[in-house]
Amino acid sequence: MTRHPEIVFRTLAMPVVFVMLAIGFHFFLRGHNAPGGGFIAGLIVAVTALLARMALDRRLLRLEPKTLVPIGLLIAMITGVFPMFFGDAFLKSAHGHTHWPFVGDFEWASAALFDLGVFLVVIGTTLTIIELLAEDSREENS
Amino acid sequence: MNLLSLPILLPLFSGAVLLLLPKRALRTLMALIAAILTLLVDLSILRTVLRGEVMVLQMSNWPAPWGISLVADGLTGIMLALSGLIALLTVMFASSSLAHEPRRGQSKTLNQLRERFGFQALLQFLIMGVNMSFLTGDLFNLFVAFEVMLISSYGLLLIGNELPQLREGFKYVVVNLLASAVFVVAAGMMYGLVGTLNMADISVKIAEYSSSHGADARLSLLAMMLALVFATKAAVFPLGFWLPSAYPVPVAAASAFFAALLTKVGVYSLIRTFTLLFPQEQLIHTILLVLAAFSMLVGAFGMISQSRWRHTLAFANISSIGYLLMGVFTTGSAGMTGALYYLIHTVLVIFCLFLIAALGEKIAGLKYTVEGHLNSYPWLGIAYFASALALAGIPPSSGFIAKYSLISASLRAGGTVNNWVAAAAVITGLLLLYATVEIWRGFFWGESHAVHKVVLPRGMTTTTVFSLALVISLAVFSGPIYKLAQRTAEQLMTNEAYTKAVLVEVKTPRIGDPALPTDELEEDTH
Repeated sequence: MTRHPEIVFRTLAMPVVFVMLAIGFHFFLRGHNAPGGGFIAGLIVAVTALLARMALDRRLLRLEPKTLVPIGLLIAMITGVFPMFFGDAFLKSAHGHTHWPFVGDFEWASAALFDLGVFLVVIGTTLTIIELLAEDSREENS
Repeated sequence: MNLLSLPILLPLFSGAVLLLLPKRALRTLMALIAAILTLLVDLSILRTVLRGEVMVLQMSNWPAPWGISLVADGLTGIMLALSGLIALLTVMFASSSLAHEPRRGQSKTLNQLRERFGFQALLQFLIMGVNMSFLTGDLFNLFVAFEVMLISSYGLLLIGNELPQLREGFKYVVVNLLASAVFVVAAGMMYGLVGTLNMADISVKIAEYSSSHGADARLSLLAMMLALVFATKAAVFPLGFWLPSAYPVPVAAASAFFAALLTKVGVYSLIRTFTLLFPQEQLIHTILLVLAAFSMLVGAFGMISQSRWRHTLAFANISSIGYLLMGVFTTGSAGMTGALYYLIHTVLVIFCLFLIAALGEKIAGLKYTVEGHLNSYPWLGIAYFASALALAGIPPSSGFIAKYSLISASLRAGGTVNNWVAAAAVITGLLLLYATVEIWRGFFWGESHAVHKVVLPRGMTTTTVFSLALVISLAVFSGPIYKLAQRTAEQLMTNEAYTKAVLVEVKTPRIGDPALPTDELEEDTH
């Protein structure tokens, strides 16, 4: 893949990528209490990575997207299993408040880690599928 | 500690790790360890539920109708133990067969690539889906389990990209997606109508409603939709058209696992649906009973029409689904007892026959038309003879005991439909005998002309011997196993123990009720 020939697309892509990453991050965090969460954030970030790839010919990730799937699965699973070691039920979420300097009161929940796992799995799967399709069509074109 | 989540978590964990491991030997070791551990957990669950207990795990401690419950009664225990056994044998067989060429005249690289692209990991995810659908006590979660199972089975069916795989895989995906769509719609309608998706809760609410209001067409429609979905998955006669061409195309280990367990997940779901949720829908019971008779006959005729190893056995699978449904939908616990014994029998026998077919394909290619292999491969012949007797239901085998109890239960239940179904079962038995003799005549019997001597990989033969030992021990220990089936069938006749165990903590939801996790509810509102 080379840089996209359309100059408008190429120039706009850079700022849009950053905005989209920020939106993805925002959706990831708000997902605990409002619509959003790891799945949607993962899709947004995957689309961002695709945009960067198409417009700027840049990979947002250094590593193969395929390896994100098992890593994400393991993160999600270990988060779910963790409470079982303390005699609690599978997937039980711990949560509480901490007071941070400058930031103020901050509510945390261990479910966010589970969401992080989902997030990684979604990015990994989506990018792998798109890359495989792109390879196929490139083979057909050449 | 409650073990119920482990049959799901262990395969998930090992599947994820398998994707990361770089070497074949490490992957094989990991898959074997995971399968052994899962089997041990399954057996310990079986031991607990055999005491008559119903084990329940409420995920993240949400009380029953709101959260997702994992439930294990006798039926779940039996299914889990079977899945554990078959999974372990499949992992053993796959790790040996994927190091060698798929069948005579093909190159080794294709199978090695299959292994590298995550065959073992997909198998673990498939096991996870199967175990989850046996354990879950929630209708929507059952759908999720089906999806996990289906997505990994698509992978296993297609891995290797051979032409027949792609052709049949497409049909398999389309049929199963349609069935899944109907399933989601049914789950949505169930929630709209009954207001809950917890199966124990649905059972209680439907029973209350029908005792006060009588029959309701909406409930019958729901039951019909669920029957349609599960019958498609179980490959019951008119809906099972996709199976005979789809199951023979993947790697031998995968098709053995599919044939032994995947259709039985459909049967399991039918048993659950029509004992727990809709025991009163007599018309649908009768329809499925008639379809069972057709499945038996069509499966047997299909077997006779084929001359390729796994195609023949795929039809045998359809016929066995017919026998299973015949027992399940015969009124009373005698039929269910026969069905459960037949279930254990057919899972082991079909699996063993598929392994033998894999060895046969290695020796002579896809068809069994070259005769005279008995002299060169006497042990394979004996293994085939023993398991074919069991499939056809000839006296010393477990198949005879299973079919005898099914047919006698059906005749004792009486009525025109039951009598005809029993007649169909007897005729099917004879046809199955003919079909199995056909393989014997085509491959083992006769003078050797063009027999190839092939060195069979030791892992494959050992696994076949193990599964043959299971088939034979089923006949030897038929007494205790029959008793087990009987106890489980009686447990299935009443739902009280199941619903009581799941719905321990049910209280009407009130604001400030200490049984509800109120702090979460409040947080969600702001």
